[in-house]
Amino acid sequence: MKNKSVKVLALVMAVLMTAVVFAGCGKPQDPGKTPGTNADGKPSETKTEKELVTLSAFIMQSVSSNFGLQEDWIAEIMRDELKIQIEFAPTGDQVEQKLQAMMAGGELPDIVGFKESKQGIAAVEAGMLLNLDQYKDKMPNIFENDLLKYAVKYSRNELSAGTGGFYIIPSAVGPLGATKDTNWKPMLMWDVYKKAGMPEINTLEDYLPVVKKMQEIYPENEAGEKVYGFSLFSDWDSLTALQISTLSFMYGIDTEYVSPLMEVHVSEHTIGSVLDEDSFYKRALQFYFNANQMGLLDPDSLTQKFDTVQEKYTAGRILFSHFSWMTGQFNSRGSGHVDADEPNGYEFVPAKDFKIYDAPNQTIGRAWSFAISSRTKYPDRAVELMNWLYDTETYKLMSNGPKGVLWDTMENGEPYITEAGWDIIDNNKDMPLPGGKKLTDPTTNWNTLGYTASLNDPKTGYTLSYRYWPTSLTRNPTKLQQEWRDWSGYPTQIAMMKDLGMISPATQAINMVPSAPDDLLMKMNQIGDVVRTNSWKMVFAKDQAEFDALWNDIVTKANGLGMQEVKDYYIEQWALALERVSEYED
Amino acid sequence: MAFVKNNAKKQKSKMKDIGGKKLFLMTLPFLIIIFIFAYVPLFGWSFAFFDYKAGHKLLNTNFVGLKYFMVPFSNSILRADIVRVMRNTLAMSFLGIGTSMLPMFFAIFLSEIGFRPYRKVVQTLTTIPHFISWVLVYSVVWSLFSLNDGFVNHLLLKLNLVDAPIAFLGTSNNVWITQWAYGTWKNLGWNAILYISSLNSIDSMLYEAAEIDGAGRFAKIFYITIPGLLPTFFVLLMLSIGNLLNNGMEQYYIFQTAMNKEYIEVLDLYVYNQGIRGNNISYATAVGMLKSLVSLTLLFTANWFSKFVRGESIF
Repeated sequence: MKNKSVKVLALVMAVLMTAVVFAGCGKPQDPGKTPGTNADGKPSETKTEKELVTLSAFIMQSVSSNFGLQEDWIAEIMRDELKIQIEFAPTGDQVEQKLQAMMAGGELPDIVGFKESKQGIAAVEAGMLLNLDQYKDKMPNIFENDLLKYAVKYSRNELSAGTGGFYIIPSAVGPLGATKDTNWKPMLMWDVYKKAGMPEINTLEDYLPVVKKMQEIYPENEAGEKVYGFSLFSDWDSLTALQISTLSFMYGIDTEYVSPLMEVHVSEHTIGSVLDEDSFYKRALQFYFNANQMGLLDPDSLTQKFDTVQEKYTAGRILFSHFSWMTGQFNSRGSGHVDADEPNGYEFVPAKDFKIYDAPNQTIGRAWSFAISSRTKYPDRAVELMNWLYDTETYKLMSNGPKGVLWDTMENGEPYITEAGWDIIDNNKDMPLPGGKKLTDPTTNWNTLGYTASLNDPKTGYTLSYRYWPTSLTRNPTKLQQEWRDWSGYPTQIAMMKDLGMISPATQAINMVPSAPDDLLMKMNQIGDVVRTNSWKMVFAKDQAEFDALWNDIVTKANGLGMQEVKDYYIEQWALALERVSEYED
Repeated sequence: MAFVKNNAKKQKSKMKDIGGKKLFLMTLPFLIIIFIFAYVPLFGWSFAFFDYKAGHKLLNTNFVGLKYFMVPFSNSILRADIVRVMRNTLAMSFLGIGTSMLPMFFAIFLSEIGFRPYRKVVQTLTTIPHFISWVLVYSVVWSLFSLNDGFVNHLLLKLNLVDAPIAFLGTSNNVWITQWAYGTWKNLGWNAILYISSLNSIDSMLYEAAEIDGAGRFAKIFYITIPGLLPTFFVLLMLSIGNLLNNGMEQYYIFQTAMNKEYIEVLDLYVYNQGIRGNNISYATAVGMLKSLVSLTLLFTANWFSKFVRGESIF
């Protein structure tokens, strides 16, 4: 009796487990279809009423760590107005591998955001994207928009894999040039620089003795933690050590957009490689090597991650910063430094010979772009969403919130942020709208929208984003800003850069160099492996002899791996890009 | 596996056909799982022979033959790289194999602890690290060993034991040993579980008889427990030899820096750095296949050796 029941049990188990194995293969239920039906299973609305659909989106350039169904103030508006909600796929680290996996699996989410043009082109070649030409009449905001005419033309000519169709919608169209701030700029901790007697800085290397003096004055922060002049991190490295190469932008040299292995002088249009004997990259390596020898470089630079560095900036443990946004929370009004009696914070202190990179007017947008999957179940709704997203009104809505909440217009039509609005922005409060969350949350999901923040709205003449409205620009300065103005004699940093010729306006051609073919990419990756590794070793080398030996090692190995081919390719492509760029400019 | 075989034999002699069918039915789900997850993916090897691009049908891409198999050997710099990577892989694997009796001894000593609650606490605490991801392990290690803020360096400096902080993480010294130590810390308790369970299967009559004959604690361990655990040990040893090249990459990926890269880059990490990071699926597949071939050869050699020396084998 007992034996038999065991047998039966065993059989049942065997069958069950087999069933479990196959159960995973079933198709998932489509969540978008459920809201349209009521409890009886009948369609609950009449035909004219739109059905709420869920579109999946994989936005590689996203800087948001939120994923899943979008739940914030804009999601509520979208549900009301468009009857669309978006489910964001997780991005973050290794998005490229995720894209590869999705493409190898044969299916992309409804909306895809590409980080590089070659990814989009590969998807076009594989037939995975929707040709938007079929939906021309449904996308007036894109096809009949004067702002986007060059972007659409560029996409047809360069991003359609030779088909001439319109698959890929570029983003961030509009001026990026210096209106308020540059991405790269040298900053020093103001109060300490003042105490050090504000020595003059003529060129890059002059920062070292100045920072040394600053470190002697301020060796520890209030918590007793050691202070360093420079603190780097390696988790953003691609083919070179990015934190080191990025100093090149202070001299108007691109080491990122064309290729990390090449150095393009964005104003003079000359090109060379990072491994040339007279390259800026070598100078930057020498700079940080010297900094390390002088005890100015944080020895944790090699092992720490970006987050740790941000924390150190917040704690005031680093004296120099090269990104305008890399200050942790030290410069925020809430931290109490910038409005203290002796104001402190990271402030712009340029060397006299700097020519800071100034991004071009992006008539063709940038390499970050959006597309719709050819396999989407709701092509019409996805098209509707993209059309909505490229409406300038949508841009204003997403970056400034709805009118009357954070901002209003004066009698002459000039927009301004209200008191309550500044309160929310300055203190990073939640939006007083259904759905809540922060003002910037919806934008971080996309990272870039259709236009740039400083593009003038053709209807009003004011910029799309509140950040560049006249009242925002002249808004009560912090004591730190006031002190800086008195010191420099300029109302804004941009004014100073322009007046002193400290700016290198870039040509759009840097966004137009196509990525290298696969074989070459493989070689570049092998070269990059050597460059990246040895660069960090060079910075932390024991003496100049070891530094030089490591440099020679990079050059020999890179040449053995085919560096010349890489150089030849980019020199040729750069020349071609310079020729074609005029087609896309007024 | 050896136990399953013995059981099968007993059952067969009792009720031949029915027993066989029943056992077959019981193993069927596992066979299906193995087929789906271990054999079907072998189809992916075909990608190594094509210039595969994600999104395209495989047969629509160019057939390139053995091109990607030749890449690692095509250039003297890459050849030197492969030698270096193999050296690291083998060194760290052999370090692991050389110390693979540690979990066995750990299990034995653990079982000798008489006070049960204490034993349970030790076992739990040593097993938990296995479930912590390497990313979290790194953040713990970082807060312990980093130069400025590391607990250990702070302590050493405050006690005046060192003059300058020691670079535990960004150094090229002792990489193999430290990586082995992290791995052992993480997996010792987990690896002992198998031994703990086989300890219980040793006939308790043997211990009683030994006690009557006057054997002490150590004599019992030496003459009964260790010989009782050896079959398990050898099975595990052989499997670990088969996995000689598979020492994983997560740990090394997370701990790699420019300083220790020369020693930490194992084969899996190399494949990742070269193939996946460079988005070259075909190349990564080819190197992965080479690895499988070497592993298979090693496994068969070890098996043959075991048969030759001990008269026992896993096949």
